[in-house]
Formats: sequence, C-alpha cells, structure tokens
Amino acid sequence: MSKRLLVIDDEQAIQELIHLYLSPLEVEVYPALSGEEGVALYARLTKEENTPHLVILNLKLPSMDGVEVARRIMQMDPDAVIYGFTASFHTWRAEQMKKAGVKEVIPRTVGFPAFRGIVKNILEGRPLSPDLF
Amino acid sequence: MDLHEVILDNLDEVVHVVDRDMTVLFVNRAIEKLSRGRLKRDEVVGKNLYQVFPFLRETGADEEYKKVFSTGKPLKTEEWTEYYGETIYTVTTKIPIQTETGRTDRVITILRDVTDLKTTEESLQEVADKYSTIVELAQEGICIDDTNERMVFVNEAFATMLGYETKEELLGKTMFDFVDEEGREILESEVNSRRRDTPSRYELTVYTRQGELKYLLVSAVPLVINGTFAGSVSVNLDITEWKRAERELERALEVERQFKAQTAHYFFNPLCIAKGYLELVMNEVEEHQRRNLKVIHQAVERIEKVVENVVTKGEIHE
Repeated sequence: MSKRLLVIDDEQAIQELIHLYLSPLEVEVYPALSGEEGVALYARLTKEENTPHLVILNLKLPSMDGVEVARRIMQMDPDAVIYGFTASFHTWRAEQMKKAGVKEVIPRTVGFPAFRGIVKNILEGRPLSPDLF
Repeated sequence: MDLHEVILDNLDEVVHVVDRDMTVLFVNRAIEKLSRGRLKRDEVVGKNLYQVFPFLRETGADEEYKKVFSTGKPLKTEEWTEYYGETIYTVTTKIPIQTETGRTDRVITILRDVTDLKTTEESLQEVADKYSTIVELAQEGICIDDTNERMVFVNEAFATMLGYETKEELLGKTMFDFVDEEGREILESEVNSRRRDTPSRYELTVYTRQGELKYLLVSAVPLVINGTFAGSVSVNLDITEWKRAERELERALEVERQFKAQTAHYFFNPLCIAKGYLELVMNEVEEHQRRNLKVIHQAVERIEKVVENVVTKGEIHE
C-alpha cells in the first residue's frame, strides 16, 4: 500500500522537485500551494478515510503561515505527523512550529537526496539522525 | 552624718555651697563621679573654688557667681568644659542663699552631668546630617508621602525629575497628579499593598509638569510609626533613557531578525531549487558534462554555506 504525503508549499518548483525525488518511494503526493488549501485538503482526505501518513510543511506561506497550519491540522487530528521543510529553519517561528505540533524542522539546505532519505525513514518509522537538523 | 547629708550624697547631681570668697563650704560625693575619680570631696571643702577648678574663670563662671551674689537671683546655665582632655557637658543652677538682711552670702550650685545625653544627641544629629546629605546628593528621587499619599518631603532630584524648580512646589501633591488612567490603576494597587505593610517595586509612566513622558522605577516601603501606617518612602529612578535604549535595541534586533529571515528565504529557496535540478540533470548527462555540472553544484553549495553562516551566526565566510 502506497503512503499518502501532503506537501504544503507555495514554491511550485519545490513541489515539483519533491514529486520527482520521492517518486521512487511509491508515495502518493498531494500538493497544496497555500496554508488554507493544505488544511482543507487534509480535512477532505481524512473525511474520505485517506488521512495523509505525512505532512511536509513550509513555514513561510502567503496569508496563513506554517505555524497556524500546523495548529489547525493538530486540532483536527492530534495524531497527524507533520514535518517542517523550510528555508527559515533557524528562526523563532520554526520553534513555534514545533510548539504547534511539528515533529521536526528539516532545513532546505539538506538537499533533495538527503530529504528523500529522511522521508523514507519517517514513513518506515525509523529514527532520524539528529545530525540532519 | 545627718539625713540631709545622706540624701545629698546619693544624688547624681553635684551640689556645692560657696561663700562670697568662693570658698567651698560643702560638696557632696557626686563631685568624685563628675571629676571621673580625680577629686575627693575632702580635698575640695575649705578650698577656693577657682583653685580647685581654674578653668571656671575662663568659662565665665566667675562672672555668673558675681551676678548671683549681686542680684540675689538664681541662674541656670548650660555649658561644656574641657576637663583633663575630656569634654564634659553640664547644666548648672546657682541658687542664692540670703541672710535676714537680704544679702546673699552663699550660693548653692547644682551641676547635672549631661555628657552622655549630649553625646547621644550629637550622634543622632550627625546621623541625621549624614543621611540628609546622602538624600540631597542622591541621583534618585526620594519622596515621603503621608497617609493620603500627599508628598511631605522630596529631595532636589525628585523635584527635577518631575519638572519642578524647587522641592517646596511639590509638597502637598500626590503621584496621582502625574499619571494617566493606566498609571492610576498601578498606583492604587501599589498604595493598597503598602497599606498592608508590603514593600513594592514597579515601573510607572509619569508626565512631568511640562507634559514630558518619563519612566520611573519605583521602590517604595511603608512608613510605620509606633505600629501605625504613617505613609510611604519611595526611591524613584528615572529609567527613561534605559527604556529608549531598550526599545532601540529591540528595534535593531528585530531588523536583524527580519534581515536574516528574508536572506534565508530569498537565498535558500532558489539555491535549494538549483541544487535539486542540478542533481537530477547530473544523472542524465555524459561524464564530461557531469563534471562541469558538479563544479556548478559545488559553487552553489559554497554560496549556501556562506548564507547559512550569515543567518545562523551573523558571520560572512564559507
């Protein structure tokens, strides 16, 4: 059974790269280009009993940022598995994301091959190396 | 020894009697205590008072005796005497004893040694003077309020702090005269806690006489006299400049935070995209092209490292 992945990121190129790099993992990637769209998509998939196994969430998004998106998804589903993937990984807002329920914040600088490894480990329930963050 | 002599010998005061020739006719034992044990009463009786105490002439005592003998009126004086290097303070009463013809032929002198009292008084005055100097020299505004929060004492610094030229202009005013609604609420709460005997420390925004906004750090304690709340004493520190500096620092830090966040956003995202596509393309090209792309990839990673150092450490290097 393929895993469902919700990617909430307003950068079209990032969405495309995530799709390309994760294709070997046999995952279903659901893209959302804004926070509102991401929250709505999570709700719809859950309603359809297709709750995403993992949410990849950017911090800096137009109108509703990653902190608020995480808060809303966690309210909807306290078991949601959300990981940040952002250029603003060093900021206090990234810490706010964690407080809102995000498990860890993956820096944009890790590169896509490493990102793919991280996602694979998460989906397979393996622990992540602390050196990655 | 008769009863009168017993009584006289047990007095703390020195009592002596002199005749018109200033011969000491009687002195009680207290003279031994006053002279710090240097004189025995028997060595004094029968002698001239000025022979025993030569300094009495210098202090003007001889003129006082002359006056009492001539006027027949008692005289009370306060004086100090350097006696064997020690300063002795006394209160002296000279009482004339008159004959049947009304002539004063003897004078009873009662001397009370008030040195201890005077020394304590002087120490207290010294302490009061010392603290008064400290209060006046203090950069902090010092204020004493009565039970109605009216100022009954302020120092120069406090008057200046609130825009007044003299301390007297502030007397009778209250801190409520210098605050807005928010400050009023803070003051009411703090005054109530002082009435419950609790010292308080708080920041207060005040408007000076000229309407200038100032920030004060107030440390106030209740003033309790004989177990009753009598007002408050407060030390007020003008922290307006600190507050300004604090706000400027916060603004500067916010600008820096924004700069770093924007730098990260505008650099890391395109660099991440560039690296992502480069890595994809590198797997699809010939070896010699792959080598060239690898050089580009390394260059991108170098830029990325520099940006990372800027945004995480505030340093610009690879």
